[in-house]
Amino acid sequence: MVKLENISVLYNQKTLAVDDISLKVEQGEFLGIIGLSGSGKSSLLKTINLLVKPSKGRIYVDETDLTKLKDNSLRQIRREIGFIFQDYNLVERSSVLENVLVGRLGYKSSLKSFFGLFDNNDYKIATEALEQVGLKEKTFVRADQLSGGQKQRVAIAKTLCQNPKIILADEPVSSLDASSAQIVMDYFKMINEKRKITIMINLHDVNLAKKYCSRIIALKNGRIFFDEKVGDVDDQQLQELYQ
Amino acid sequence: MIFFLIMSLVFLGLMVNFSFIKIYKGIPSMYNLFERMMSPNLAYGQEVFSKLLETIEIAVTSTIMGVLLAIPFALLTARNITPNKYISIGLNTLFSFLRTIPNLIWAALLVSIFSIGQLPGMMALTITAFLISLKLFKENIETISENLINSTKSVGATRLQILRHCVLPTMLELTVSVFFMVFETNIRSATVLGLVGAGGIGQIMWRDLNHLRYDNLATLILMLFITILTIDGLSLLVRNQIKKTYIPCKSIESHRRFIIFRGMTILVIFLTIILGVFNSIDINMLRFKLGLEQAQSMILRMFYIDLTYLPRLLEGIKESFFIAIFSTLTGAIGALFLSFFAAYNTSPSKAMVLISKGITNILRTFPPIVTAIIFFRGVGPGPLAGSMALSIYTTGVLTKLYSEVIEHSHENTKNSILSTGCSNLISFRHGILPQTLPTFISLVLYRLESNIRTSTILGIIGAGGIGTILSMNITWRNWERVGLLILGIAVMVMIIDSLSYYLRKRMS
Amino acid sequence: MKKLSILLILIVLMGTLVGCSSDQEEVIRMGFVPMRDGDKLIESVEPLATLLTEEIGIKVEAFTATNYVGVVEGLGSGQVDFGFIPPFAYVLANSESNAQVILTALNSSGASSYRSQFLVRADSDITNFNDIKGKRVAFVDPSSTSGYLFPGAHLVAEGIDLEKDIQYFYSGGHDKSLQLLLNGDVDVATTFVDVRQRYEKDFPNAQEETRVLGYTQDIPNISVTVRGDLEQEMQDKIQNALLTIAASEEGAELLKELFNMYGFAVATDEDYQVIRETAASMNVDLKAGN
Repeated sequence: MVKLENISVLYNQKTLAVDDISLKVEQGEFLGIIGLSGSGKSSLLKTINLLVKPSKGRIYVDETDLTKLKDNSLRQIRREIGFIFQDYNLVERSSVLENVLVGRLGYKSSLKSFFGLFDNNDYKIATEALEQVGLKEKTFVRADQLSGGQKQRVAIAKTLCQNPKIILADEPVSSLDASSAQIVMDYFKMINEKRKITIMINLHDVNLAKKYCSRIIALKNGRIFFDEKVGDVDDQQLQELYQ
Repeated sequence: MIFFLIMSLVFLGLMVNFSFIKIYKGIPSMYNLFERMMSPNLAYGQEVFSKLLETIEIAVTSTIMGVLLAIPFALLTARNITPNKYISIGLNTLFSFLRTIPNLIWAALLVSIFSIGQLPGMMALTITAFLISLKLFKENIETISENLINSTKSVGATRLQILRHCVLPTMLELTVSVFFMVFETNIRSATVLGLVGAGGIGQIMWRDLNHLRYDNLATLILMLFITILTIDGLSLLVRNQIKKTYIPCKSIESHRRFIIFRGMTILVIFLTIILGVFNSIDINMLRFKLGLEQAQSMILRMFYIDLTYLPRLLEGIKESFFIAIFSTLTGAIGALFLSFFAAYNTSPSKAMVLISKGITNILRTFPPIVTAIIFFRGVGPGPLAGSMALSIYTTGVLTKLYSEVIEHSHENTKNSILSTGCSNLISFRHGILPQTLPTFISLVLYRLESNIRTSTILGIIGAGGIGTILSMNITWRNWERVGLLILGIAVMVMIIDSLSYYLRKRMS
Repeated sequence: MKKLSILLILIVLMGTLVGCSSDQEEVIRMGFVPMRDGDKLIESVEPLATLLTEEIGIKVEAFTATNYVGVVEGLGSGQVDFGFIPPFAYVLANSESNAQVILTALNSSGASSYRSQFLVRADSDITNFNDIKGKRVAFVDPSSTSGYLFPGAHLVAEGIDLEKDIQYFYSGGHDKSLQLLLNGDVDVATTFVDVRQRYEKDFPNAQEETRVLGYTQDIPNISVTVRGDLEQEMQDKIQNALLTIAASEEGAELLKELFNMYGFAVATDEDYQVIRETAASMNVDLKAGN
């Protein structure tokens, strides 16, 4: 369960990106966040695992208040929150396997991981994750050889390695063509259903949101414009949102 | 913008006594000296070669050490990954201050502590390598996208893990090119080796210069030219190899073996170097302590800066300042034109590429001090000779770096403009130039800093600037004055740094 | 606006060109290259230039350099009219462009030459030059007259083969040679007289901890050299002006205070022959390449 209480995000002490948002997401929900660019979608998502510090408000994951955590316990909580970016953010020069293993870092001691030493369990989890996104045969390929859709699937596999309760995805399919986008979204859906992982996803494309999400939140000027079950969103509302 | 540029050029030209007439009139005398260099004494080649090998031997070890040492410090100083903003600012100030310290002073310190010979030579080159590669690494790390770091952060990785698994792998290719670049600098700036009794090619260059043996000097420059070309080729080869590297694994087991093998290899290289260095230290503790005390008193005296020397400082530094800016600006303009002809993808013809690349390599092989003497012969004392020499060197170095940037820029940009039916030049002006301008400017700024350093060296032949009084006071061990002079140079560098930062911000 | 700015640029450009071509009015350019082993750190040569201007009646422009190569080349091309240059530099300038020495400076004891010394530690077992065999010797650098050329030639004359009989280093400076000797890194250091006094502040115990083993031959002092194609009349003018300045009370005081020079003596090429001979005995081939 994720709960936000009166979250605001202020950049450079003047630009208000997120304006007093409160929100509750239950475990296993597939939540889509839509809105124009600049409406605060990305900032909202990044505050949840504290990549961006909120200027005000509280963030709860289950019963823990993230804003009160020290570095060490924050890292432990971050293991349970996966984050996927639009631009994949793989280390291009490393193999797919090495990239996926990065997801295990949160569970490793600094010294061991410094020498790149992972144990059998890590390798097992990584292989399984790759299998789940259908990229097992690419395990030993260099990341820069993959297509955009494949790269995003590697990013998903990496996140799965964290064993997350929640996955935050910031416009994960915006740089992909329609069919790759479908495939990537299908994997999100599958993960959501099979592993009961909460998914919060920023989407540009309202149709994708309608097709895959169980609940949709619309942001406008840093505030929640509407928050509905997917069936209840009507065209009228959407038109107003994108005006 | 153009107006502003021309105005500042004219102003700078005035400040360094620029005059076409003077240069034109000096051409015959300059040519005379040049002619004397046209008959290299090939019999001398053997001695040069053995000195070159001596230099290379020291330079390889110290470059590896300097580059490796620079990596952790770059991780601390790069603004986007530093653990603490104040550490970053503090270290940055410290290191840019250290970069302004002339070789003569490093030599004096090292001779105190480590006596003379290979060891202090290695230390001296390691320091240079460390300081240069630190700057290059830092700037490159700062271009790593914030998201890439964030994405590793979000798996719950510690700071060290982020560095190891996210920053380091992206730096590998850069490390190779930095290594070769610094290696080249180390070989050409090896004069410092002569100052600590480690011999090397720099020492015989100065000897030949001081004996006016231009035939020997020509041999030396020729060999330097070949060396630099070889290093370039090697760098290209290794980088291409890395780009192609195939990860030789078929199964998890072989992957694990590969990781362990790689780790062991790195460890072994590391240990070998450390052992090698420890082996070459052959001084006892008593001697070491004595040396430390001498070095300490020297440094302490530098802190008691002699303020009565301020007028002399200002006089000298003003000239150095204008020499550095003038030569950087003219060099940048020259490089902009030359790069257009020297880059494969913009040049009008293949022959042009070869000719321009040849010119570029010749320009950057000639040590600025030699060019300065040639110009001095033509135009006489004052800042003009130094400015022209530095300007030519800057053109060479910048063209090399910038034409490579152009060659790596996206074909599509150029083609999309070419397809509208305009010429190569127009597509360069409107396609590639705007796209690569930020890189170009940062290259120019990197040159500016080293030009300030070099301009202080050129002063010693009477070509203007602060070099004369600086080197005099170092030989006289007037550390209080030296302290003031270095402080002055450091402040000048910082002013230029913030000025350029401000200008860049306004431009973007 | 654009036209105006172009006009402005043209005006400034013209200004630059004209400004520099008016340089052609007659001036005499004097270069000053202090000897690294000289007794005084030369701060500014302006006062001397002012006196010379008054005496000759033509403006004298002066500059300093710490390395002589530029000045020697300037003498060759006519960019520099005369200069105070080290003896070795004179020999080079003479063979390159027939530059002529007209004066040499006198030191505090009125002599026109100086010597280098061989220093050993006070408790050293080296008592004569023969004992140097098998020891470690610090020279200054291969292009130094008083730190390499003369001491090296002296050792050769004493029957020591530099390559076989001793182990030598180039320290990179007279001060560093002294330091290496004090620190026990070498057994013999060759320096000017007296390095121990000049660096007293850095090495206060140098006087007690070292002793002089011997001195080299006399090395001529700094030379006043004119370019080879300077008219005789102008050469005489410069020579007379300097002698007059040295004879005047004000001038003598200034030379003493700023340059540690106690007058001038007329010098000829003969006086510098010793440099050529020494260079030849050290296998320094100065002729080729010019």
